Amino acid sequence: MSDSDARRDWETLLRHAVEGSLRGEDEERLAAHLRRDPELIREYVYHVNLEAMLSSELYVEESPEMSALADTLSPASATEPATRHSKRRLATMTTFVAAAILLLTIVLWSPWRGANRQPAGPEPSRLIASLVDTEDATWPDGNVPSYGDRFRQGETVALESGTARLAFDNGVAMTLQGPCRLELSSPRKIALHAGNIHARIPESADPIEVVTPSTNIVGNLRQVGLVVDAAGETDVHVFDGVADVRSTREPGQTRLTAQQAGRFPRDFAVDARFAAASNVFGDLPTLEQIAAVRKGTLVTRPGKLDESTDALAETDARVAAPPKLIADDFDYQVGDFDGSHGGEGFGDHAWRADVPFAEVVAPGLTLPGETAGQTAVALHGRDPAYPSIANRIVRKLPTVGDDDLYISFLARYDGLDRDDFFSFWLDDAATMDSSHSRAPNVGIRFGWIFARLHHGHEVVQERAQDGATYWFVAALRRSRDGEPDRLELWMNPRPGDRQPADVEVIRREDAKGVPKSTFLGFRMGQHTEPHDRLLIDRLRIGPTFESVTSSTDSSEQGQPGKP
Amino acid sequence: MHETNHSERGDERYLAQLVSAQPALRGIVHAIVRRPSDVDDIVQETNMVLWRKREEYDPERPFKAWACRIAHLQALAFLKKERGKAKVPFEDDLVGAIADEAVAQAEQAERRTKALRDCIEKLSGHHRDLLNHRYSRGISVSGIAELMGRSADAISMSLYRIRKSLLECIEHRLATGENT
Repeated sequence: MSDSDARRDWETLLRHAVEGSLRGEDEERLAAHLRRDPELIREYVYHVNLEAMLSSELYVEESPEMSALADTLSPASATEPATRHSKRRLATMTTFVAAAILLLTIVLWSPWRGANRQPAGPEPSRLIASLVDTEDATWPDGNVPSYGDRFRQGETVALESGTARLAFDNGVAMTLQGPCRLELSSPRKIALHAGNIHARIPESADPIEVVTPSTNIVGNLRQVGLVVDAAGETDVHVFDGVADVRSTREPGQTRLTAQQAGRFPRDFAVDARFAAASNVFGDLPTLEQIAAVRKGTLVTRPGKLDESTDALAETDARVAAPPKLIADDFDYQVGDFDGSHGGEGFGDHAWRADVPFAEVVAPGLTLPGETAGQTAVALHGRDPAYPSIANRIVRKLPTVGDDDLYISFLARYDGLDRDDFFSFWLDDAATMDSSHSRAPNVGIRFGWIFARLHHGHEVVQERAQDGATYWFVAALRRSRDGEPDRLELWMNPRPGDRQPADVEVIRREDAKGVPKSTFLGFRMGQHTEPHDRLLIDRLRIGPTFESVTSSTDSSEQGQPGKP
Repeated sequence: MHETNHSERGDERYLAQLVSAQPALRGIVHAIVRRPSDVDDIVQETNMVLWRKREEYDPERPFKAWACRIAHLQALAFLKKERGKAKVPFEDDLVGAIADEAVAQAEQAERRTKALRDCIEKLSGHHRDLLNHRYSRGISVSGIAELMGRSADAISMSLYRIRKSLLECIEHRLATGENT
């Protein structure tokens, strides 16, 4: 390698080393250069130190809470001149150190670095927001963050589909709808590269600036919705406050006030003004969620569901052969449901439930002409005190093989309104964070009976009636290569009389694979109310339509029981 | 061990020194470890160690050099753990040479920082915008590229050139005594 080539190679490596983007194989070359010439060590350290100095000199600290902490800890005898600039820097660095010391006693985060949370460069990486809730969220490569996970300044949140809600430590509430790429530059500045966000900024928080491919948005923003499309065009909807929308390239500014919206292409000629439309955006996190994050008391659940499901998954070997029929009539003692293990064909696996929100109630549901079940399981709607819980019950399935799978159950929703949701699902994950959006679901969505193989491709059958008992019969069908590729749904069929399905959902060619049916469960949706009640009864899973729809009496089942 | 009165005022003074040493600590750790997430963790750990060791610090000695030595040890401990998992190309002798250089530069940190402030003022508006995107807003290089409709490599190169010109400016100011 000539001297000029070596120098060019060195500078490239130096540049990437400073930016924190050096690849593994380049590390060796960087080390070789440094060993070869001690002068390069000096140059290297100069550059790295400059990067750290620039970060500390130019970085702007915004959180009022942390600034207050910095004020408390800043010594009066600081040797720096008391200029605004140096005070800011001192406050910033004091905060940084104070935060580090606080970490001695407070566990603030678990380092989780999935593809949907791309670590940024070597800028300061304070933790600034929490994930409080999701709905039907899918993340790149299936990396699923947990409720309560913390996001660092500089991270990019990439949401593939569905909804995710964030609560910032400074009180900002934000809802993302996928596909969305949002860079959390700081508590006061975010960069929306693509997608749809809805944000509420409390008066107690400092003003927020939003950068998009075509605009810088500042002003007294209080509630705003933004959509950045694939072309980089930005729609700005102002619901409260004032937005001054500036071009990132050209001089000029457009002011939007409450209930106004505008469209801003990349060349910045405002080509449309229209009324702000709230129905374009997802609901914001609740005030309870924001308050909980600010106090550091975000409660994700009072129950014990997610601790138990992993243990359940390990006990599959106890079921020697796939049973012909798996059934549960929920004939349990009235009261707590969690841990119930009756029914047929489930082996040793018991039901797990979000304890306060699932119970056994009497009487059960019944089909016309059949003996009424004694009891059923009831799920309650979501409690605002625990907004991140998709109230659910879950049970491990024994291995069911690669044949078609038929499912049947009775369901009645009391208190149904237009935004309520419940579903039965089959999935390979059963943690509280899963919304089962990649898995087969049937149930009621926005007041309609629906079936889907993947979120975003629901097929509806009819509008559901409040308080009506429905008999859901579904079939998860497989292609010749054994992959599930079709979901069929019959509503209130005649027992044993198989007719063409009312709903048929075909897996899209570009959709990801359907997960294995390791767990089954029911869950309630985000907008259900605490007084809502979903009753489930007469669950059957079998290899044929007839096996799950033939009349059976509960006395044929194994002995119900509770541990 | 040096006898000190660790009153609240003493802790405050120590904290002030710890605060002003942050860029130097970050610099030495970054020079040794490089991966940003690891740098964050090691600097935080170093701060905690330094806080716990505040009673061991001798105020007669230069604080930054002492703190940088502890950061060096923290980074070495990290590398030792990493070597158990994967090959780490920076051997201890190279790391030691880097640490020595970093400690030497840390002693000039105050003067260099003052010079940097003046040098930033001399940058063109476009270059200051780029620096603000990167360091004030904390936007990643790829994020800036997306915002400005340029390639990430072009932004990276522009930032490198700006940093290089800042270093030259700093050296010039220190050499000519403009900042003293």
